Amino acid sequence: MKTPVCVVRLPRGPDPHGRGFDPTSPRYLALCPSSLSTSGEADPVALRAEQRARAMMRERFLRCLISMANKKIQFLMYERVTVAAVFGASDIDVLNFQVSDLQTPIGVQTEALIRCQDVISYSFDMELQPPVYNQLSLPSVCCTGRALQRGCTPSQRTCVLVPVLFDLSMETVINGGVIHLPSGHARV
Amino acid sequence: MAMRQTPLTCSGHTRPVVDLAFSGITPFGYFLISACKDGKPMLRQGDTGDWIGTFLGHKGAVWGATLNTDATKAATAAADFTAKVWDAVSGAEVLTLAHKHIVKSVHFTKDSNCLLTGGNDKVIRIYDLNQPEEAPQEIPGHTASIKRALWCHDDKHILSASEDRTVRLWDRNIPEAVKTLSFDTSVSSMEYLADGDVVLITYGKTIAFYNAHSLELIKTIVTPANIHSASLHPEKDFIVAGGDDFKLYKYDYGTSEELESYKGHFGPVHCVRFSPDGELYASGSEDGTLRLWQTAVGKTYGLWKCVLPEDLVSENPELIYPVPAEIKA
Repeated sequence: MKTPVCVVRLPRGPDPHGRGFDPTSPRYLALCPSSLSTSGEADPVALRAEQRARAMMRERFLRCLISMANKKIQFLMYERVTVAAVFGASDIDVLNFQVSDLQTPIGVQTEALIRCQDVISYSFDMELQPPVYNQLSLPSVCCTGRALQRGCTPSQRTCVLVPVLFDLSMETVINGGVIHLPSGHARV
Repeated sequence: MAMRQTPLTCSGHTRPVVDLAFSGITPFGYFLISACKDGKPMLRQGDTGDWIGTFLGHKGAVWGATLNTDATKAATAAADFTAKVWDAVSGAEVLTLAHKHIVKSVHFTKDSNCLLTGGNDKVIRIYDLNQPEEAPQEIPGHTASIKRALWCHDDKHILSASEDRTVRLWDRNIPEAVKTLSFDTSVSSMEYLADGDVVLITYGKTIAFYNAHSLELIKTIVTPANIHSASLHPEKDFIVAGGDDFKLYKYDYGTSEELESYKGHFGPVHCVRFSPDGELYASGSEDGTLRLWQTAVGKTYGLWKCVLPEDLVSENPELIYPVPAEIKA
């Protein structure tokens, strides 16, 4: 008689939401350096200021995504591609944007996914004085990916942003002033 | 008396699995990376097959994947003309190395400082990962696509297998190949075992073993089917191989005798590798799955549990019986 071999359970499959690499796993906690590497400031005061700035940038980016919902966005992409679409949502890792009515040179795509790493910048019209911005008194935020576009003029109505990826340098305009944040591996 | 083997099936890929690699043994166990034509290589726990994460970023089929010894870094080679280096703990992309054609093979040195790449542009490249902006060292010479390039002899030499039907041994400091092996047909896979200095090469229905310094033939084994990949057990007791007929074959290395053959996959087997402790081997197939097989069938290891005849009689709710191989998982 051949004895069957038993298994305790089957191997776990991929999680349909997100890409895995559980940050609460023992290996991650032991080995992963903080994803936010600082500018190297030893001074705790400067460090706190930097952390505040990072938190603020992150909040801004997330609020920006919220305010973009159902608005018409112009995407500037590599290979001189410019397309317009109605923004739906972003995925958790900001790898893809779900859009509707994507206007392309070869026709209109009712539903589409735009790969974030292909996007250089995007712009859209914000309503004046939206309630969510009152606290931050934020007229505009300008940030770019690798190439800092110094020529762009922030306006009350238009916000030009780039999905924040792995390394970037940011110039943030707050209430007319300019704060230059250190470049490096800032992941916001 | 041989036990029937039912493998553990790891699903998740949506297209053929073309390459897989194990890491070394780390304090957190060992790990497995699989390269798939769906462009999304996956990291799994090596002894259980549990999915850990997917490396997202490639824009084309991933042809080669590897882990460094302590599984902190991963590298992948893809049809989007890039090789990418990843942080294997967080899943983040660390580096993209642009190439001029499809990249097929990637391999870390033991200290993880250098990455060897090879692909359809016929040139072997060595990248210094601490200075990624620097141009890589290039070793041209092959006259057709490179299928696999491996470090050997303590990272002093390189072994490369190409569609030009040659396997060449290179010294990284010398432009000409130190030794060349020619074949009548293309080489389907190549593996290097440092312990014993053996190169395993498969072509057609043959599994051949060579001395890695002299490239002298040690022995060959002829199998019933075209073999795509084979692997030698770390203690050199067994060889496992898989190919066109969907089966996994197990041979005794000393006697060259066929010990077992196992059915399970629903498509040709593209890659087979033993785990670093030799307790199991993993196979990747055209059917999009990875399967884990026990070396010593019936042993308690990973998700397998040894069951004595007495235990079968009693009601034991923890144990589930595997489905027969004929039923699709």
